[in-house]
Amino acid sequence: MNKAIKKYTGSLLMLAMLCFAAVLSSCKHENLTIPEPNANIRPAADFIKNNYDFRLFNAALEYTGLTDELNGTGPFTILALTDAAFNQEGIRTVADIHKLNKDSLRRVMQYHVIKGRRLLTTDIPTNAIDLRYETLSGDQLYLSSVTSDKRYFFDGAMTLRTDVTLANGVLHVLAKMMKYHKGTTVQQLLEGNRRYSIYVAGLKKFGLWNDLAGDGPFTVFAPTDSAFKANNITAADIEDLNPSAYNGGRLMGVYIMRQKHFFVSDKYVFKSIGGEYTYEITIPNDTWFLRFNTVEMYEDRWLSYPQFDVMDPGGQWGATVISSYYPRAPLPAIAGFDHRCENGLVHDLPALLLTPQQALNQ
Amino acid sequence: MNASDHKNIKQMKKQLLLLTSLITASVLLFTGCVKVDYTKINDPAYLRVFNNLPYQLSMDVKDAKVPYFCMIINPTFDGAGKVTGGQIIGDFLDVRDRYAPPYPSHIGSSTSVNNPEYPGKENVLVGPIVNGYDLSSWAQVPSGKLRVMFLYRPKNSVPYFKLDASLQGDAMVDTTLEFSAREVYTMHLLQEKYTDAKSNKLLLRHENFIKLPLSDSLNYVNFYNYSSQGFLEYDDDKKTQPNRLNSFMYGVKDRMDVYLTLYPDQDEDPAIRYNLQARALPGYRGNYVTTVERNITSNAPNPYISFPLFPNKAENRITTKSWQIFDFFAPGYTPSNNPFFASDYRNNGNWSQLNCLKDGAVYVQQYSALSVPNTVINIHSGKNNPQSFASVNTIEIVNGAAYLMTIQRKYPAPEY
Repeated sequence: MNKAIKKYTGSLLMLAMLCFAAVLSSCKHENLTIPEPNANIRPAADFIKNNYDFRLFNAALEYTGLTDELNGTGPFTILALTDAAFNQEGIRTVADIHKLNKDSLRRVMQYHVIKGRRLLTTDIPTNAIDLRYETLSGDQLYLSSVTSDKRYFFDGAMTLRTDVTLANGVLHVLAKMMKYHKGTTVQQLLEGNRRYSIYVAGLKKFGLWNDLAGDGPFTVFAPTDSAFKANNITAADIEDLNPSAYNGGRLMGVYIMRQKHFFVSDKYVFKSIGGEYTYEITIPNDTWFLRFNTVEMYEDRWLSYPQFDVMDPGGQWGATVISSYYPRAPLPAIAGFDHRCENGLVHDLPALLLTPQQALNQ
Repeated sequence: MNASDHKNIKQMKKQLLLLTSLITASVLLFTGCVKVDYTKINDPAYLRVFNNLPYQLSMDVKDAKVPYFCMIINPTFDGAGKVTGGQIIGDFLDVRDRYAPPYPSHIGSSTSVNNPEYPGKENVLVGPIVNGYDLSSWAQVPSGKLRVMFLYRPKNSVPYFKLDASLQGDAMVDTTLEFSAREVYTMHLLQEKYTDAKSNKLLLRHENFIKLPLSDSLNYVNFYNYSSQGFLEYDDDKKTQPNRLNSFMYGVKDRMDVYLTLYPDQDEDPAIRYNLQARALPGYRGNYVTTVERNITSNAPNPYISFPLFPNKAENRITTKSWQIFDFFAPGYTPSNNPFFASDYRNNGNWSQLNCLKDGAVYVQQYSALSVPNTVINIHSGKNNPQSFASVNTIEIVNGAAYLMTIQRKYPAPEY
């Protein structure tokens, strides 16, 4: 026994020293600094209040009494509007906000908050089309995304900044206000809007008016009165037209896509994720068709604008372009696009696609 | 230590042994008595389901529903008429794969919930070996009249009955079908008019291969064209794009003659496969075998055509490397007067080619053919590795693709 201990004493001593050295050397370490967690992340309403870009958005939240709710537990996804987005709607000061109907503004504000969800862009499915999310107002909005381009469209309104962290959610900044006209048909929206008066007169004149109260869905690119005036056409001129002399479905119907609900951004989305560069839709009961494209134009930032060609497939050189619309400076206000109604969408069109002369009955 | 201590220790050891054996015995007694209820279906019919519905990414059909289903057989309902469950549930039914293998092994090893066929990944009772044919890709279902529902569901991994209530109950089809005991059925989800989701329908094909006197030294194939009306005429640019250009993608005509060519070696370097036609096996170059007509209403099985398992006289009749090309020509065209180039995949539906070689993932140079696996099954069996076996096959053309379903006989287990 003792012999054995003696035999191994040397090596045991060596081992002990080795262990000791290891213990000593392992005790040497640099001071480790752990980043302090940011204690200054604010809840949604406080964040908006403290951001100079959201003065009007904050004023609208305070006016409609949503501040406390948005400082609550959440989680919320805030689709915030900058002052510039409010300016597009003609709202420039806090006083302008206070002139608005409180109940309808409250609904609009609630529509800009996704309920019970911290929707980071990384949680949005890749290349989604028409996802539905429920908002605080109880209505559902549409979301489409082009993931590779990091572009997200809420009811056609593109995000300018995404994934701003809040204590009780996340905030994305939209390029414009989302407009959901709850309980309103396309027909009612056109009728109630004075800038479409000549087009409305034309639809009535050529017997297309009643269709727009139907189920649809319809996508209407409605030419504004200024578009008619630019072609020297007044309401009286439309009234004087002889319906039998013109192809009314062509003259007034070229602006209506039936059984479709398209946001302007949809063309961009399908082009980007599906390689569908041109969309062609035939005018009902007609051989002519409309080509719907999208062009990217720069005004502060890149945005998609619609572009159209009216085509006659049996023209002089085969499919012939009868007329075209290409967005040019000054670009149309994006606030005029994507007015969502119960049975479709209405978009401003600042030009005419066809003059009465181009739609004469042969 | 004295003698009595030794005695005590001995006794203690005995007692300990007794105690442990008692405990072991009682543990065995209780755990061994678990009652196992085996699932059993009396007088089953055998069912396999394929989802052939098209899905397009296009503005024109932006609101079309994704063809992704939960299949429910003999559904149960609550008081409000909402489906609460069913006797058989096949969830996550996706569009089908190009190849439907004889065993569900290819499918079961994947990591997603998406099921390219039913039963596929579902852990259910499957068919036995009937007349030598392995029916393990067919699920057992009760015979008699069954109510069959296919419900649209969002494409995610949430089981159907855990989905939000607003997403449930959207039925694509709800019908009653008659199944006979111990018969083999293949069910297809099809679209009668292209892009018209309202014309979606079920087709229940009553298979007859288990009853036919088919030789095991011949390979059998039958053909169907389940394309939608109007697919060929539809705008080519809007047709669903497959992973690469091929001669089926724009559709074929309603009536097509099928020609078979056999080639000797599927293992040769694809780079030297120029002048493929000249390399065909003598006697099997462009032989007319049958004519296939588009028919989306008949549930009768089409007749099988056959060709030898060992067409190459130079081979040893144990394994063969031979492979097949099926040419589909519109009447009037034949392999000898074929006016199209090998790269003419856009030929108004007059000519399409289907390669059956290797695992179907092989690209044959200069050919716009679609590729599926070889109909000859090469597998380790007995002492032969590989040994070649004949199979019974079904080729279905649906819109812009052709699909191969292979059925295999039971074969001797490998010996190592």
